[in-house]
Amino acid sequence: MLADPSSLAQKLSALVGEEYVLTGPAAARFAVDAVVPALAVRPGSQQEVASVAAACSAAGASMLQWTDGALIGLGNPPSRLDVVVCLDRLTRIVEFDDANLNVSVEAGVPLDALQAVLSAKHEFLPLDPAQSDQVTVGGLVQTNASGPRRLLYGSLRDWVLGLRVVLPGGERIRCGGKVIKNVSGYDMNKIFIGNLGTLGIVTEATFKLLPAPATRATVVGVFAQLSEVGAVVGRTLESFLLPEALEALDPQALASLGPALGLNGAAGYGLAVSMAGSRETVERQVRDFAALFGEGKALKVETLGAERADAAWRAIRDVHAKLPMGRVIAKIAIPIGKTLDLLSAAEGLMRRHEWRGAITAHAGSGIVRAGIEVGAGSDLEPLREAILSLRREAEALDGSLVLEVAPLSLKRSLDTWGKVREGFSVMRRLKAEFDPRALLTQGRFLGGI
Amino acid sequence: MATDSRAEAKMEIAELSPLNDVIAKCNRCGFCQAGCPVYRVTGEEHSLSRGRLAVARGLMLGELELTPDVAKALEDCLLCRGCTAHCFPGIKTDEVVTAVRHAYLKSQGQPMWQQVLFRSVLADSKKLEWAGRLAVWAKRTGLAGAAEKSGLLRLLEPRMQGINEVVPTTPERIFRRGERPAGADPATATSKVGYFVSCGLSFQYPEVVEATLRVLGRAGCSVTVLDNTCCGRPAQSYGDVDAAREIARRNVDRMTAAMELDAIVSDCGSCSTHLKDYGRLLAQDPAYAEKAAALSRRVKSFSEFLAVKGLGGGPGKVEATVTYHDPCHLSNRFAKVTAQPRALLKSLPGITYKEMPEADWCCGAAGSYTFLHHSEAAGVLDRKMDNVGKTGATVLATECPACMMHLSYGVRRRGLPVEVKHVSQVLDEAYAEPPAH
Amino acid sequence: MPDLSALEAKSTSKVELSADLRQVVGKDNVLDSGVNLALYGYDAYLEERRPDAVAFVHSTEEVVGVVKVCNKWGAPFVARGGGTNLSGGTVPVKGGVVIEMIRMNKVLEVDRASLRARVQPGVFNLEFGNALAPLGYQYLPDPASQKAATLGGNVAENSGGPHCFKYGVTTNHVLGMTVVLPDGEVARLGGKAPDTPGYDLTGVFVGSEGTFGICTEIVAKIVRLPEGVKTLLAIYDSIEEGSETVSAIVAAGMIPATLEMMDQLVIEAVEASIKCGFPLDCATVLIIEVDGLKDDLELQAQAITDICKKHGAREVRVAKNDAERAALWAGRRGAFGAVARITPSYLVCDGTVPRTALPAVLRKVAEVSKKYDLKIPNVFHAGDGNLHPLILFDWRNSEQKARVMKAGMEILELCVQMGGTISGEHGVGIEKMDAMRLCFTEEDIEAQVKVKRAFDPKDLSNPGKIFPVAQEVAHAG
Repeated sequence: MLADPSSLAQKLSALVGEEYVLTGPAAARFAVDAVVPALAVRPGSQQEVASVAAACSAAGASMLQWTDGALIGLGNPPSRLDVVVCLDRLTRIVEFDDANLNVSVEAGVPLDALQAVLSAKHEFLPLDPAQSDQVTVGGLVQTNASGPRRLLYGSLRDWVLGLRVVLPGGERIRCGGKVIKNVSGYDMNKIFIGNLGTLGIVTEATFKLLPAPATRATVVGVFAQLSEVGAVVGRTLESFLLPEALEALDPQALASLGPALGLNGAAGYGLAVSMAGSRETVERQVRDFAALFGEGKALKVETLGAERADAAWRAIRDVHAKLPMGRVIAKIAIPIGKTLDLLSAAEGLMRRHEWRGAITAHAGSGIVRAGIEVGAGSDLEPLREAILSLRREAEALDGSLVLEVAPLSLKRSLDTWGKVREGFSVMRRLKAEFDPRALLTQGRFLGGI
Repeated sequence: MATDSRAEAKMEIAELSPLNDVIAKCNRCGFCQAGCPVYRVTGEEHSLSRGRLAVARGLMLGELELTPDVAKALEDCLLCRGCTAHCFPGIKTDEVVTAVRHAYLKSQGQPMWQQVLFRSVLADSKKLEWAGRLAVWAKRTGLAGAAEKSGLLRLLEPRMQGINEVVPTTPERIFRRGERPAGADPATATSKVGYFVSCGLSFQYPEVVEATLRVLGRAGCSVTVLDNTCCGRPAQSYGDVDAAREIARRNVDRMTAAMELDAIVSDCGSCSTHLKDYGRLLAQDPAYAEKAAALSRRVKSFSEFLAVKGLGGGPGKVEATVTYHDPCHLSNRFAKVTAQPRALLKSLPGITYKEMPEADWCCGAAGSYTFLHHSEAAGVLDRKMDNVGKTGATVLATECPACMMHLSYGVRRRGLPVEVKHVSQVLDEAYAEPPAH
Repeated sequence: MPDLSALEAKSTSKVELSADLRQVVGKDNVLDSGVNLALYGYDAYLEERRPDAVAFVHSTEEVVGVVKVCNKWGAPFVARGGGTNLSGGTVPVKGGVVIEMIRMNKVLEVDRASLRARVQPGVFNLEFGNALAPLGYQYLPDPASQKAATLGGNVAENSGGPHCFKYGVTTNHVLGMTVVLPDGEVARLGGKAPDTPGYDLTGVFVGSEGTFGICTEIVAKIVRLPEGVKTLLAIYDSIEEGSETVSAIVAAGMIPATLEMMDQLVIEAVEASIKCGFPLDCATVLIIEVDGLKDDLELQAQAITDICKKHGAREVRVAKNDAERAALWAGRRGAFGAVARITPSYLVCDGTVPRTALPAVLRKVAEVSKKYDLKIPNVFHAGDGNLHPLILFDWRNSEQKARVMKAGMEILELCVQMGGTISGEHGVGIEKMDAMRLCFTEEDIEAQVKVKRAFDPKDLSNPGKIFPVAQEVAHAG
């Protein structure tokens, strides 16, 4: 524990201004997994972040970068937490170089706000995590969050051109740059994407952008059997078609998304596919998918134009986050060809236990997300067992199950990340190199890092 | 002694100087990896054009000495120019390798068997024919096998071990040399050609020679079988350029009369290509330069000649799926006779022609290479057989005795249901059938 | 414990090193004769240095064995594939063992259902493509050297290529690998499943130039071949207009698969070596390719043609068939080799700038050419802003070579000044070690050294690369 919080608070106040250093109940608002920090600090510039880090480091205080309300829950409970560094005041768009399709933004900018700026110049960042209204750039980078559109566009590692990072000692470093091809030295961006604040505090990111598509459309279908969904997915992946998202829904997810998808009251499995591009290619794909769904024995097929599609996809992405508090959200990552097998396994468990929730899968990307409601005071043991069995199944396929959201009581008995693999020694040494005194985000990451 | 020979080697390497600018042009991009059959087997840099040119560069700069080790690094080149086809500066590595081999021979002295072969046997058609008879006799009496088993062969040339495996049988008798007429009646013939007798075909495939002569006749040619000796290519490849020149001079002398004919035709791709090079080979020899150049201009390879001449009174129908292997010396890297054999084969009724991948990649025979570098050659051959297998062909046609021998070995080893034939044999069979309508 | 200095001092140690290597890989798979060592000291860059031994490996286990032998003797090692690196990445600057990967050349698995393939590092990039094409799939990164560059080398350098403008570079398509760490431990990074928990070690390993250990198996992303492709050749009388067109196309909201540019000197050289149909009397050409669903390709091609014409193209040709398309690409891919027709050697600069800075930087490169009295043809990935000025010289002329090195550094400085960087795809190697300081602070560089130490605390894996000379990598003691 921090020996002398008030002395540090004074030092920090001198650096960032007294009103931006929070203590007591104000700091408690920044508790992570019920671990309450002694202080929370809200620096006003990247340079101030560096000064704060240097001061905390000098005082031997442990730090944690507050990402945002949506993503802060990811990770094991911290083993120690003295100072939360909240970047909500870092909200500058540093440079929007629309001619060169890139943008540099500070960590506190919410993703939706960024997209609004980009869309004014007919460009966009093709990342679509859940709760994009709350997710900030800093949170995005620290957690490597992604969404359905990764099918066509990939994930954060494909879109970050550069980062500015504050190391625990207060050194400011730059990784990458703003050009789209860059092999000058190591690809340092990669170790910071998804590092959960264990190696450094990300203060700014430069993203590669795309021109906004001329148009978008979505086709959704309802199927009686999951195997029918699987057949359509298989044929899609073998085809020339280039959808940007291909999302499979279990019956519970479909039921709760019915209104948003124009499929009120539909029962069965859902498959939603999104197309973006020129009018010609989008129209052609709408036709082809309607036909593919029809041949695949869809009970119902609906086409959504661009205006309805946006809301529909937001609903799909947020379906787990909309479950009542106390929920569990597990992200299962497996080879693409096994995606629906895992969706089926998760659904089977939920059915057996009569759990309420929603399961979705990025059917062409190897990601299944299961959201489960957990009633207050309910016995967590069956749930723990169920998650462990899914994790075993995923790990047997060389995949993983990450507990994205879970009640603290469950987190205490179930590791967020699962097993470590060969090569973990490098991760441990990396942590030791960057944060030799283990001041950053203690105990939350893989293998206790 | 040793210092003397090294001094001599230095002098010879100085003779490499005409190639200095060529050697300097290798910027080590490494694209030659895509086309070197040997490198694709060994993966060793010295097997690759870039490596061989680096050796040459080292010699040129005096950073390397022409020791046996260094010479050995250049030994496993097929001289096939597979690299040149991928080389943007267009470096002919085979010429550099031959030059270094030449320098090495000068410095170290030639193995006895090479001296006898290149200086005496190959240069004289009589001795050559006797040698051929001797080889057939040795083979048929089992002496060759005994020589291998007893180690006698190893004593002569230690690496010739595998020869009996590659060439398991020899014909009853060889094709007799000596000038005589063949083919169509000169009175009615539409062309008069000289036939250059190749060692490989006349010793190992006399039936191909017979087929070629019949086909030329059916195509309306009167033929004079020439009294030539070896073309000299083997000596050239081993780096004995002096012997190769001497052989060339003798052939020029022997073919004086043939210069009056419409063309000198050879059904061996290496012979015809080497004959076409006589002009260059003897360019510095005032007594022969002009005659040699004239001779070179007159030389045509078998299908090159026939494609222009035409097949005349219609060949009949032969049902077969045929693929064609380009002998290196007829490929676009050397004589560029690639369209003609294919056109002839495709023109035959009943033939389904299937092109194989990498048809112009060396088969690994490269003259006697396959005997001296058996494992490399076998690897090169494996790749060729994979490609042959992909076509589903029943006939594998080519136009070179060394290729025929090596491809037959490959087909045998694989148990492929494929017959290896010379293009002339395929044409001959078609002529034997009643004309198609 | 024997160390490197002992190894250098006593040739007997080298003999023992070779003997140990032979124990691991077999006697025929170690080369240590003088001439062979001379042949493993170079790549497509301009420097060379001899190793102490070359070991041919055939499996992950053999790599482990060789690396452990290197650890025992304190000998550095460098993995080598096709040796096509342009920055000296495979030159064994500190001696030691060259580990030749070229025989690990199998495509192990093509998993179409999961859109992944497992492949060994010694497979040539083009051969991998040739294995996938009959199945209807492709691996997208396509470095110009693809017929002789191995996938292991592509991983080490994070190679790009013409199609990377739309599809990204190697790192976007390599999602897992098996590696032998510099201490001999085997690690599996990433894999067929996405988002492996923990740090993205796959991501940082790609592009680490062989300094983090040796990759022995690659999990690569494969995608369907596109339904349609259209290739255009736009011909300009001024290089300025050509480079302005590039930004105009992107500004119009289009992302072609490629946007490549070649200037007159390069065109001449290419046409002299193979006839590709480039006009000899123009200032520059753009090779523009659009691909994807066939429905709008015609429209895209038309729109691009209009933009090109509006920006001064005197002619825009559309390749009529595969053969014409192949000819254009053969010319582009052979551009580096072809300049050897002009002079024997070249130094290729690999600087990258924001696309819109292209016209300005090309003007400055022309000034550098004049200043140093050197011919500098240009061929580049215009869409990526990745320049490749080729500074021509004859390696036999040392005075000229010195001027070339200065000119090269000046061009890199220009790129950095314009918001770019020193290397887009060829790597730092030994060529650009000192140029690292142009674009990174001491803190930035020290952070990179930390990553190096995490992977390779003893600095055995391809030492003496990337970092400026004074930078201390290995932990003291």
